Amino acid sequence: MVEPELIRKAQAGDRDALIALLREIENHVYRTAFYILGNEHDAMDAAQEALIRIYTKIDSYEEKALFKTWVQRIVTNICIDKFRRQKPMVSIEEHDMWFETEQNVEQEVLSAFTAKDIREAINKLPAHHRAVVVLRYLQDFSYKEIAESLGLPLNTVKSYLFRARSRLQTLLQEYEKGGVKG
Amino acid sequence: MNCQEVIELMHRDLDKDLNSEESERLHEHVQSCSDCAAMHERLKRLSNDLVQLPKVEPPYSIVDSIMPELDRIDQQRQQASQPARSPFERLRRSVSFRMMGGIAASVAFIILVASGSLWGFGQSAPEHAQLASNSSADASSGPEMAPMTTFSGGNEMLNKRALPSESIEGQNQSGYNQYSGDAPSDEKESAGFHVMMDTAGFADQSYPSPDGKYTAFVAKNEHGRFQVEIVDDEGNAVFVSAQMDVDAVVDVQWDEALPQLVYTVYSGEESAQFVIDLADAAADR
Repeated sequence: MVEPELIRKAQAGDRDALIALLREIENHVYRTAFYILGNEHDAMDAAQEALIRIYTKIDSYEEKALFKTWVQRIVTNICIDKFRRQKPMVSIEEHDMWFETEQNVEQEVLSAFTAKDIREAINKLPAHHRAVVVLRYLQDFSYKEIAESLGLPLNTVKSYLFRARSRLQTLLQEYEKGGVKG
Repeated sequence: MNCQEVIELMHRDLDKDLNSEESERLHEHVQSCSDCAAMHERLKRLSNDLVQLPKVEPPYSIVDSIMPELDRIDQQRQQASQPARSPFERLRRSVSFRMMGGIAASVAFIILVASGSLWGFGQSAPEHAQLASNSSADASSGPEMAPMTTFSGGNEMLNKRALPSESIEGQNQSGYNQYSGDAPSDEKESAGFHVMMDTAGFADQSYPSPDGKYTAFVAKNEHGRFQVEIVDDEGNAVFVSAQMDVDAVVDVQWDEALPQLVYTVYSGEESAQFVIDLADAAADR
């Protein structure tokens, strides 16, 4: 939660406040980018672009929206654009990237599936479905906050989230049955 | 209630979106439907897995990595906001720059900063405001010029002669600045311009001096060429520059304190700066 006072100072032209604000949100911005784009490299690119955009557009933020949804709107827009552009040439490189990031990322969690299994399943979702799942689970957003971030109607958000979860459930179930999982 | 409807309740349950009545309906159904019970378990497990996805962090500070870019943005902004912070009215236009044998006469004096030898200007500090014309013949016959006319429009002005109320007799030999070099070639005009002008939009832009007594603008004459012009608050033309073709950049600034206009013309690698001091013209009025 970014302090409203810090936002106001940043908007008033206090550069130190604006930099401090960017430092507070950089992890959140990166996390969204990482789970939508599926690899560290693209996530860093997108997060840099998002923070630069926030730096230059801080004036355009209006308090009627939540700051966190304004930030997530910027980063998800950039990610969805990137996602569309990179789509034709995903496969091999991205696959390698998974193993590379795996060691940093995976945690010991008692869970039915590994984080890697789940992320691979998320990567099979359409961009908007990914974005909804990421905002719901990595940013802990409500339906309303997701709707505000993505500029989608509330019912569309629910429908995307429900379909995405059903699809993930199916993918993971197939995966489990296929016995690939160690 | 069919199973499809129940699955929606399951999803909303995961998001804590059910009221107690809906929650009860879900549990009743799940207890009597083994397929839905299994699905409910799988979805809860999935949701739990999603909640526990690692909260990844960037490998290095993203803010640190973009600092050079942010500094660059700040610099650009500073440059862009210069006109707003300074009292100078600044105009950048792309206007070209071939002098058609015309005469640029200044009101008081002209400082020239020309690169190379393309530009040769006399320099003088006449006592009185003096007129400009767009023809060398007119300029060299200053004393016979017509009396001051009222300015009533950029283009129209170019067809008239504007004179201060006092004679400028005897000043022409030293009082105007005559172009004496070769005109820059058309080939040179295509490179190195700062800003390209949208000729369609130029006519209605004017640049008033800080004290509001004068207005400078770049006007297009009947030959399709451009001239820097200054009119006073009664619409009298007090200065008209030499003609310029498209493809140069003209940068116009009013001085804050003095009734003085500085304009710089860039074309290719050439540039020339002119200072038009209107103090004497003001004293005459």
